[in-house]
Amino acid sequence: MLKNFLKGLLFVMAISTLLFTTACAKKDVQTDGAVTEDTQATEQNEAKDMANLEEENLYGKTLEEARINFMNEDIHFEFDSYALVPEYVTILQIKVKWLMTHPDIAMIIEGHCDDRGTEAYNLSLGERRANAVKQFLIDAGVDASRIETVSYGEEKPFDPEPNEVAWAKNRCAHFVLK
Amino acid sequence: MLLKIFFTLFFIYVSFAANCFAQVDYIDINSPSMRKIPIAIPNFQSDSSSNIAKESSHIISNALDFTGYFKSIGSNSSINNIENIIFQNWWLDMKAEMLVTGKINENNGNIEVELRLFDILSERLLIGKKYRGAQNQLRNILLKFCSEITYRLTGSRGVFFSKIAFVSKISKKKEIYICEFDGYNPRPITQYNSITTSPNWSDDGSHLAYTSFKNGKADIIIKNLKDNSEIIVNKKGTNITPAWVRGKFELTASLSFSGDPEIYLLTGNGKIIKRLTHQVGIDVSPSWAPDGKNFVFVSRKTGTPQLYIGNYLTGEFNRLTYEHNYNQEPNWSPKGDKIAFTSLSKGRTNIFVINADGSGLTRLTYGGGDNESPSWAPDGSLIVFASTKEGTFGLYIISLHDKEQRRLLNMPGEQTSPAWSPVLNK
Repeated sequence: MLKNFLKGLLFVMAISTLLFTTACAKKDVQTDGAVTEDTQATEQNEAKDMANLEEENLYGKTLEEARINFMNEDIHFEFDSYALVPEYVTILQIKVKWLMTHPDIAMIIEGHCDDRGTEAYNLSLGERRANAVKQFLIDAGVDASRIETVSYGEEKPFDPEPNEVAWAKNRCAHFVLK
Repeated sequence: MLLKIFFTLFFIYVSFAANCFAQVDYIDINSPSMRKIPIAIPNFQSDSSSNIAKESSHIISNALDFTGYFKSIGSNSSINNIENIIFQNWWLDMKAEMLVTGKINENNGNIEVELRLFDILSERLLIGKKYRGAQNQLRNILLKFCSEITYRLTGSRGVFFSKIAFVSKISKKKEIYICEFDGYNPRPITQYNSITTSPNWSDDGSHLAYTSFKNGKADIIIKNLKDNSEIIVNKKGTNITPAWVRGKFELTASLSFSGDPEIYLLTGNGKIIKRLTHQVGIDVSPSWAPDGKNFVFVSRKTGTPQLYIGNYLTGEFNRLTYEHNYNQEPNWSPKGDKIAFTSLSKGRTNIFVINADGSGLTRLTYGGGDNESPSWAPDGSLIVFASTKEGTFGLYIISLHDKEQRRLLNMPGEQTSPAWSPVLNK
């Protein structure tokens, strides 16, 4: 992702440099009064295309960053609980604002658990966690049709270590934006 | 399948002694003070140059030891005459109370096996059998005789013709496997390259139901083990913890399409018959009593997972567990009287047993990691479970009589979610 972004940036830089140089050259030519219509048309088109390209790349960069930030921030839960913790309600409120300004983005909310307790119960608990977050988003005005949920229970831990730090990390609702 | 084995087996029954029809209960399997019977199993005789005779006596020793009723001895001794026994020697030399003798002849891929069980103290023959069959039936022949022995001495046919389904995890993928009752011949049943878990046997052993993520979320798959055909239950939400009803081709499972995970009754082909629970909160992990009327399940109705018993006919529900805050994975004994389950306390999961009426809560496992997913042997004498006592998850057997534990099998990866089948030939 980052690699593509850097490539894009390089491309934009290259084009901008070219554009700048061309503009300068054009000025020189104009001074000489020897420019043909043909060249002018090409230059105009090029300039137009380049402006578009540049705008798209800038837009892509911020959106991608925002998407990654959004997905990197999980909503964590207490042991054997699917109640939203106040700290994460604040984070969810920020997420809602962003979702409201990006109405085209759909998402999957994954429910996860630590590996204490049993597989079966944790699948249900993970589902409740995903649903609790989904309900919060819906209540805040996000269209339900944008939200899918899936529970992985304890099957896909983010940190497989058997300690409190890992368990806390694994007890979460995780967003995957489409 | 096993019926077939019996048909292919050219089976000769020879009654050596008339007085053996008098039934004697040598071992009272319900007695808490039951002690193991010392049974001598000297090397079998054979005119073959292969070590088939020695292997066979070891198969019988291991199978009888597995039951928890016997202590096999004398595995390195030999016997000259398999019919006319000098009983005193066996008693005086090794304090054996029972004696098994055997003779095996190989002939063009077929085998003839003569097996006898003697009561050393009363100096008489209890069982005498001669079997003929294909060579690849040797293990089945020997187990058939073990089944005769336990039936004669305990009144129960034992678990020799049962299997254990389980989950094996290798590099983040979980697949369902099946092995024989003693861990012999583990083989994969699924190869979905996904996460598949919680297998459960139909009452006749012909189908397995389990939960799989092979289509991206938790769905139930009902697999016909005879033709490998599959039916999927993929309602919206999570579809988990399938449990077959005893005596019927029906199963229950926890489905969350209504918004709340509830227990539903389904046909063996995955069609919903009716909803069985209407409680607020998570309802999962049903397990059926042998009467086919009562089922135990986990409910979070009171805020923490506890066990409840529901009656399918009356619609009544009663809370079963009150001790500890985190009781799960109930498994109703095929004998009907007891329910095994797991309880989380002080950060560790351990196995407990409680009577179906709520009395007699007993802890079965202590220390040594987490002990999970208990499943009863079909005769109610043993429980298979998953444990981290040796590091990663492996499968273990515990005897209800002496609480002795032993490892079921050694294979790569982690093994969890064992499910003991019913006896597959009745």
